[in-house]
Amino acid sequence: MEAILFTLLIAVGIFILVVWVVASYHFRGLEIPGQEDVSKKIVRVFAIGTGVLFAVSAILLAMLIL
Amino acid sequence: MISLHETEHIVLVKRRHPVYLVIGLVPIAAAFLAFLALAGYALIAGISIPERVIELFPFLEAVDAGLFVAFVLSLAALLLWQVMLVFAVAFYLDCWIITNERAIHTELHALFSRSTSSISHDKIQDVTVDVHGILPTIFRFGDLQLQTAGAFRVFTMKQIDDPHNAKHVLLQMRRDYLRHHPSGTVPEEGVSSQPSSPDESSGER
Repeated sequence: MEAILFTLLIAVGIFILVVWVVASYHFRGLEIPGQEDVSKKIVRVFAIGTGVLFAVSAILLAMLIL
Repeated sequence: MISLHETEHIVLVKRRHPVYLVIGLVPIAAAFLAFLALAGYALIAGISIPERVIELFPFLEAVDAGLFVAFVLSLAALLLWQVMLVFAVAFYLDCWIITNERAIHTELHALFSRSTSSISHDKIQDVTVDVHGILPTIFRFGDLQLQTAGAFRVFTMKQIDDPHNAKHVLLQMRRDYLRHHPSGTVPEEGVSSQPSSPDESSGER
């Protein structure tokens, strides 16, 4: 069962990676000359949230396995 | 990066009204917070898995039910967080830019579907403002539709803030553009909102 849960976590991680790569690609394509780049703030907030949530999930899985 | 011509400069940048973002994000954020709260409760208070569920999934008997539920809910919350990211990205990337030479439209239809188009001011035949509904009327947002000279294309700035001002700026830019590039005539400003038939819309002739 631990293997299934670990695979689940890895699958979610890969999904997140794909979302972030595509989102970053889109953001780079829309830099408007002379305009404040708000995208960095959006990315920062969501990156912190994603990191924290993923870490919490990983810790819970570790507690579950150990 | 959006590239401009040598003589081109940006006059106005429009995005959807923030109300649109709030309306879209509130249900997802509520579900996200509910998942986190439930995960915390399962972790702290501890829960027991019903025997019927254990009969169906015998491997659950060996695990800490509280931890297991908290883990599953945290993964669900993580996925919802990504949904919110995609929503925010779509909000930010749906953008309409009015320059002194053209109107540029970039829209993210889905994560893997994005379009960018532009229309020169001399191609615009008709400009329509559509403020429809209670919230758009209260918060002053709506659609600005540009009917182009080509075939049947309609260029729509969706749910933008203060579309009447955007229309005013657009027509002013169009007037200035045609003054320097005389190839047509300018539509009269003030003939615009929600034409009930094509004949009532503000045509250029």
